[in-house]
Amino acid sequence: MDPRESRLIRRLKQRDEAAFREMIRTYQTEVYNLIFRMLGNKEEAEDLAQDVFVTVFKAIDGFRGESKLSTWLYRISVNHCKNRFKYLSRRNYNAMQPLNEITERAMSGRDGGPAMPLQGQVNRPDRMMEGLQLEQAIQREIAALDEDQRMLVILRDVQGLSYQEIAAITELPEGTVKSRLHRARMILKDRLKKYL
Amino acid sequence: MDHQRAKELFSQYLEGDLPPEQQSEIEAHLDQCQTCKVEMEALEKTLSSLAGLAAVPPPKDFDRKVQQRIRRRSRGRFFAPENLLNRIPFEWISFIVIMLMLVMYFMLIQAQVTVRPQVPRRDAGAASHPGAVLRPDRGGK
Repeated sequence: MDPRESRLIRRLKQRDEAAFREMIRTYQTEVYNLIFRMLGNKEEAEDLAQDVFVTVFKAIDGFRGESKLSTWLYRISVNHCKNRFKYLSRRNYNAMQPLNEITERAMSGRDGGPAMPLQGQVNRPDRMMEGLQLEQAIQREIAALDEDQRMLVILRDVQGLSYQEIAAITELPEGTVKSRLHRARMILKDRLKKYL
Repeated sequence: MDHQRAKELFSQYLEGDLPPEQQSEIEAHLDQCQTCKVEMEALEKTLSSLAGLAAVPPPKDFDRKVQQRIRRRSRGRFFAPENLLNRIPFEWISFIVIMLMLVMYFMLIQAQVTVRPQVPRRDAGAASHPGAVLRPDRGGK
């Protein structure tokens, strides 16, 4: 483990508030994006991402450093997502309703300016609309995958984690991760063909 | 290599995860099979679109909201007291300000005592002898 991370973990175990802020700022984008892509809803994602960091602090004393801090955070996020799915499915929550979220985000960036469009900079409005439609289609088709496949696609193909990390997060053998991911990709490929 | 086997290896092929002989086999198959080539290209585009999804920025003040949630749930007992260097030490500032004000107060009092105007006093001897008249000194006579 790299010395900076060891120091951060030691400070977290001492319940150092500044260390906590540092950890949130370092990992908030990854955690929030994973959850947002999984749930497709901004408010749910924010609420659950906050819960993930609360859990980190509740459980930090039990963290033995056998994995990277980011892997541990991802594992907590994945478990929280699964629990939230169970909770939401009892309330007939539809994970395939993220389109407004994406449109809203695309229309206004973080600081009021335009948000970063899909796949780099697009100056032409027609191209931007195409990008937006593609992003909506991708998000819709990701949401239509089963929960485990969706998780793997997001971790590997959206967030770019290594197979080793994904295996550690999901506690699945690497071979299983690869084969399940391949099936998910083939499904997405067929469903997205008309948009690509 | 048949279509089915080729399709099973698409992901590994695109990720460069195949041994060299299988890599060559699949390339040979793609050269001959237009259907598999189209499928492979569609998969490549799909993966590139997924990788190109823009990151969604977390909400503003996310870290502050998390800290508030922790404080609320732990009733403020969760975090260790902060190091004085990491925050403004209001208690020390208050103490110093109070001490300075006290010092200034005592200095002002002291200054008032020392600059109080002298009230002209009668001569002590004259006061003791009401009939005595002050006369100018006439050379000691």
